[in-house]
Amino acid sequence: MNDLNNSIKENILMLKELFKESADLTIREMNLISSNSVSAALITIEGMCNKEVTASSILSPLTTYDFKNLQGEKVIDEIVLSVLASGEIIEINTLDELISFATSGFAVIMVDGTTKTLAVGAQGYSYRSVSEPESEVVQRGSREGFTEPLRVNMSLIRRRIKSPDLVFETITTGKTSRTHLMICYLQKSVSPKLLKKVRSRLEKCDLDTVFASGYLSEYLEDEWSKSIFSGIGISERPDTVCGKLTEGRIAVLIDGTPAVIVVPHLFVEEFQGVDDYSNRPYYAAFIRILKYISFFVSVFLPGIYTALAQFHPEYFPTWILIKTSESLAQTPLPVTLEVILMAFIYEIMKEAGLRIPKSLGHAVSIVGALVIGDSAVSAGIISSSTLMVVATAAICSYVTSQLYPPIMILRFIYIIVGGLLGLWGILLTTIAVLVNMSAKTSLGIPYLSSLAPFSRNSMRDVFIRAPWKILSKRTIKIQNFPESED
Amino acid sequence: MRKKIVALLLCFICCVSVLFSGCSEARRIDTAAIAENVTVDTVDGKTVYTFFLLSSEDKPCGIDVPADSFEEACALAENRYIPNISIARIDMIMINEELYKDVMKSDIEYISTQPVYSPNLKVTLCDSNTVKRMKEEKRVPEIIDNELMLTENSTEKVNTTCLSIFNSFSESNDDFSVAYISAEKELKIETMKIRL
Amino acid sequence: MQINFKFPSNRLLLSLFFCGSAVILLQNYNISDNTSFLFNLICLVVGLVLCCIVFIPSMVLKRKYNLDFVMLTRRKTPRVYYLIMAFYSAYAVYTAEYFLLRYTDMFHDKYFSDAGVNVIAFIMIAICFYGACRGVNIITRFGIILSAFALLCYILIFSGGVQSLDFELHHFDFSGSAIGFISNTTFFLTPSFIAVIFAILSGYSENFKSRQIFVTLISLAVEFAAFLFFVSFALGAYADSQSYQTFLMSKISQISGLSGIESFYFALTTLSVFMIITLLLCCINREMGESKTILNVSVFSIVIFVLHICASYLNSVGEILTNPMLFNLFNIFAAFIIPGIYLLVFRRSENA
Repeated sequence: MNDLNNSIKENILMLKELFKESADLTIREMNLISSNSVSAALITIEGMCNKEVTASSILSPLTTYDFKNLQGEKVIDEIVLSVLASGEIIEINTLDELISFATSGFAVIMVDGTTKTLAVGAQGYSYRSVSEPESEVVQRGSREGFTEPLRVNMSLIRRRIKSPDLVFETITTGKTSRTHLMICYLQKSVSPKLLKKVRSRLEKCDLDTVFASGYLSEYLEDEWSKSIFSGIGISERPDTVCGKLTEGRIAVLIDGTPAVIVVPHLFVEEFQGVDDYSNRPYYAAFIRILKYISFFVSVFLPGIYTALAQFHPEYFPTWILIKTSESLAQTPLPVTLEVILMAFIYEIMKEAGLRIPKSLGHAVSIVGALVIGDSAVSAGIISSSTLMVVATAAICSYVTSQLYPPIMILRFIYIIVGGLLGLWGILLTTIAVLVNMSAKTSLGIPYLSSLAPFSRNSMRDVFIRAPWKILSKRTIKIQNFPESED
Repeated sequence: MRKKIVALLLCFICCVSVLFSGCSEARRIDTAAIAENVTVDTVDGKTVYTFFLLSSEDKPCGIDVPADSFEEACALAENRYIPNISIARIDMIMINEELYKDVMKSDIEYISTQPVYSPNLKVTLCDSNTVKRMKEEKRVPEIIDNELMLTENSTEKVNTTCLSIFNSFSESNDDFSVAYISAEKELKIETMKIRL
Repeated sequence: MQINFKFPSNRLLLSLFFCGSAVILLQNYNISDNTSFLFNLICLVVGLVLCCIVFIPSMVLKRKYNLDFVMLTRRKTPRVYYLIMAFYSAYAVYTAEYFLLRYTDMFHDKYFSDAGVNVIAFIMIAICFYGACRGVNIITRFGIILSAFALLCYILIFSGGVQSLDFELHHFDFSGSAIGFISNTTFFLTPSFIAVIFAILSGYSENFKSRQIFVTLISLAVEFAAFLFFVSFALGAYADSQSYQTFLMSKISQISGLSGIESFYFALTTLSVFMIITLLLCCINREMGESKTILNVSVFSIVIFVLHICASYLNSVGEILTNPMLFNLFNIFAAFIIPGIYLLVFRRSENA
């Protein structure tokens, strides 16, 4: 791409050519009051800048100030020092930077006779207001969640950590989208090696567009294709992200999405919630253990039910055996197929529920409940025991909703394996999954850290939540876990 | 490309091996006839093993299998009388007092060699009327179960399980006590000394 | 890379403890009849003391010189290195086969008689292959999780069997014969195979302390004694009516009327055999030089599988591969004699 020219006319032509005469590119040319008749131009993108700010803080002072006999670069310096009332003025020298700032909502001032340009903060684009994230609802914590603009998210973090150790680094990624990212960390807590790893991996991202956090996860994760569990954490809550930053983790904020990436990410974190640190320790411990039990139930219950029904009916207690046997005898399909079918129908209903318009949601949920829940059982298409098992597993999976993708995959695997090989097959599959999880790392930190490799100090916040007096004695940094590559 | 072919081939071999691992011989719950109790009685001079199957009906579902031993009865039941029978849940065997000398020792020895049976399988003696009541009333096994539990907690040693009876007759030739159920005494447990 | 990380020695020994557990879990008429519990206890103690002696060369190597046997052989005798490693690879295959055959036999006998034995072996070897490709570090990490599950299994099996204890079934007297003593002691010497695995894989671990080996062997002794106790006093003469007496012991366990605890026994046995075969494949990989892990592990996995097929069709092969006397001789040779000779030579050259 050509660089900026001293001639303002050439620069304007270049911009018009680059933007293909796009309707939202606004160029306001003007002659500054000066003895040398200096021309200038204000470049904005329609809808990105605040018109009032642009008019009152930029255009008005520019068009009324007397630049006397100043020319070229000195005009720019004078604008910075004496003319503009804006608090955010950035000097830019390249065309790439000009485009980047203009498309980010900055008003760009060009002056004839110099390649130096100014980007003035005048953002005025519309964005969603700060509200509670729907995916991470809490009882006692803050109700604020991240939004799409990067700067709003930065301010949400800065408000909670007022320390000068908090650092934000900008990176631009995406050849076409030129999405701004912010790497956020606490200088005193973070490991320099981890930081270097994050930077280098983000720089290796060669995508055309980056619109969501998932685009970057494959670049940040260690060997992402070799595990169904994710080695990166996603959060929409500023308090959660700030808590993780104090443990030496690194947050990656992406412009245009409220989901913030936090790395490294461990398995035990999926069972930790903000409410645990607000509630009393005994209740927090109870909820944590409940989450672990729910996880195991959601993953294993359908598979074990299939295995027992298919291979080991004698393991059922008598009172369940009679009812299960009779209900399954009335249905046409084998147990394995029935459980797979039910689980599949549930996934369809879940996906439909996510995308259905709210006005139709009630009607469809009633139909779904009646058709699947009642009519299908009465008609003998599916058995009530299978329905109960699948429903229980489905409800349990939402206790740890972040783990839903691996839970769903594992559930199907266990149903198939249980139907083919019984409990023995489930055991072997569990061995393979556990070995896979033991081998997985997140930026060089073992994924199962705290459990395997075992770390006694960190166990105070795994199955239980120790009182704050104990937790505050020593903050365990992520890079200090055993067998960490840093 | 080569790695992909090798990986695909390995996956195919694994899938085929899983399919041929014997999953076709599964003891499916919806088709299994699960036997819960067995009685040994004499009918017209012949030994008959009656397998009581698990069901939700009001009346007990008992199927008679004429055989000279429990081993023969199980084989006949599987092949001829009760297809898809599942014997892993057999909880109790009641032997008519007139027959115990003929069948008890051999049956218990056979049960002890089979991994499918629990060593805690209950073995009791009874009179003919108890067997008749078993065939007519569904509550009888439950009553007997409760009575056996009370007997286990009593001070006098009564051998109620296959394990204890096996150990009693294999370790010495002396008399030993077993549980005896009489219909005349409302299915109460008494002890009976026997020698095998 | 995680595979290159040194991990604590106590984790390796924890994994070896689970390997040693397979000996009692797959015990099949290995303990003589007509021997009392106390007599067997003494045989157990003697057997495990002998195991401890077998551990000495690898223990000294690790403690004093921080070397494992593979590194020592490479340094001292590079010319015969491949010959020695070939012997140890053959040993690893033999040991894997020893336990795999017993496991598939138990599976067929107790769990699912209609299952194809060779298919079971294939699937088991496939999982072990995957585990071995990930490395020793990962397997020992998995061992930590396994230990939590194993603890649950032991609690269920033993607490469920308490109600079946009957002290009239067996006596606390001391009865046994010389032949019984030799036979039982030989059986309790079987866990010495873990000394060979330790000798080869100790190079991956750090922070080794001699007491870790004693703790491992004492834990094995306690476990064996507990199983012996329950088999004697809960089963009595019934134990001799079926194979795999430990399975039978788990079958009588009941907790509040709920049975099915033999499935935990089965899970524990499967996990122990998985540990053994995987660690042995890791040993082979170390012996072969670790540069081509997948190739090394896959070749020897195929060898183990082929041998298993041969053993299932040819009785003579099966008998050789499951002969306990031959296995113990192999263990002593591999764990004590060869490393002992090397250690003596090494110390002499150091002193010189």
